[in-house]
Amino acid sequence: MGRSLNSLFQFCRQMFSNSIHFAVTEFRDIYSALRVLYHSRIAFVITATLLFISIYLIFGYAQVEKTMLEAQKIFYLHVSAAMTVYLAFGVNFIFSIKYLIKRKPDDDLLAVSAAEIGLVFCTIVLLSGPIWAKYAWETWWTWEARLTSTLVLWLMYVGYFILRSALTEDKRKIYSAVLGIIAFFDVPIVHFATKFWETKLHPERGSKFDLLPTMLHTWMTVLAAFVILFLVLLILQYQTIKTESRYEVLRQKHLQELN
Amino acid sequence: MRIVIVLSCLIVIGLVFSAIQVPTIDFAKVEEAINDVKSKSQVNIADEDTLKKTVNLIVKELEADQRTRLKYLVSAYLVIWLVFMLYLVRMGKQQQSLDKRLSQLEQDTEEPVE
Repeated sequence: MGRSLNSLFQFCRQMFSNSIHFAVTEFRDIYSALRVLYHSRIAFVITATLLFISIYLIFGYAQVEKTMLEAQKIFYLHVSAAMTVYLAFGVNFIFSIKYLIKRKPDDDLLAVSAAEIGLVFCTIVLLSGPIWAKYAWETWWTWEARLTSTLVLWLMYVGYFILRSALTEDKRKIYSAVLGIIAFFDVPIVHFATKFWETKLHPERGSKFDLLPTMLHTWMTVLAAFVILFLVLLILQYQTIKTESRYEVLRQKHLQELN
Repeated sequence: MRIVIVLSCLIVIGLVFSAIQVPTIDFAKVEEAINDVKSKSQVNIADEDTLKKTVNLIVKELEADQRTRLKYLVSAYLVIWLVFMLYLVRMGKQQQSLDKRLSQLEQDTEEPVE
């Protein structure tokens, strides 16, 4: 008994030291961490599982809300997508600043990837919101503070991509990093819009309809699924555009050799 | 990528299908329930026909309301799913085109490119 426990302990210690060694050698920086996650496919499996669990929780576990009944279930995806937008544009903000300081091309690539996925989630918020609004407020759209500031946020990041496509390689990275930083300042405006302008439509922060424990658990799971989905999409997009930029370098080199 | 699209397609179809299957209560069921209540509680109902008609109208209205709510719910989920799918398809195409260009470059240089 003592011997087998000892060998189990030895095995665990070996596993632990191997994991530490793996983490130290492979996760040197965020880029190698992204590469490892991309190749290991662990994140993909976790995302798929969490999304399935989320769907089950939304329809099979969460209680039906008293005033809006089934229509309230839009909340889980709509609000989680909005939170993911904050995260995505936050990542873009951080890496835009980092790019301006260090001028490392990888930072620019990560900032662009985050902005692109943030824009996808923002589109989801802007499309699912009016459907919910039509039921709850009996109108598809109103120029209310939060709706308007979210639309402005979306337009700013559309502008970010238009700017990138319009500029030359050297100017593109710097100008888009600056715009990424400026655009991010709309995120707190969106979040605190209901407080600043005292709108009656969107509930004020902290005074949302009573979330029962089952609803809260469901929302937390959906939020976790969306955050991990964002990370997976970020890894995929980053790897693709990184390969694209490397391809461009190789192609230019090849053309120079031919000439 | 294809597996994700197929699986999510199945989920969406299941969602739409379950939303369509709103349980309906017909007049016979309403009548049966009223009779049941009458026999159990021994309430004296003066005008049974009016009561049945009223209950039936209320049930119909509640069902219509539920159908409306489900219509909005399914529309929102469908839109969200569509946006994700379009983005995934776009990503897939971007990846495919990159693979093609890379293999072309490999052929041109006659050296494997990672």
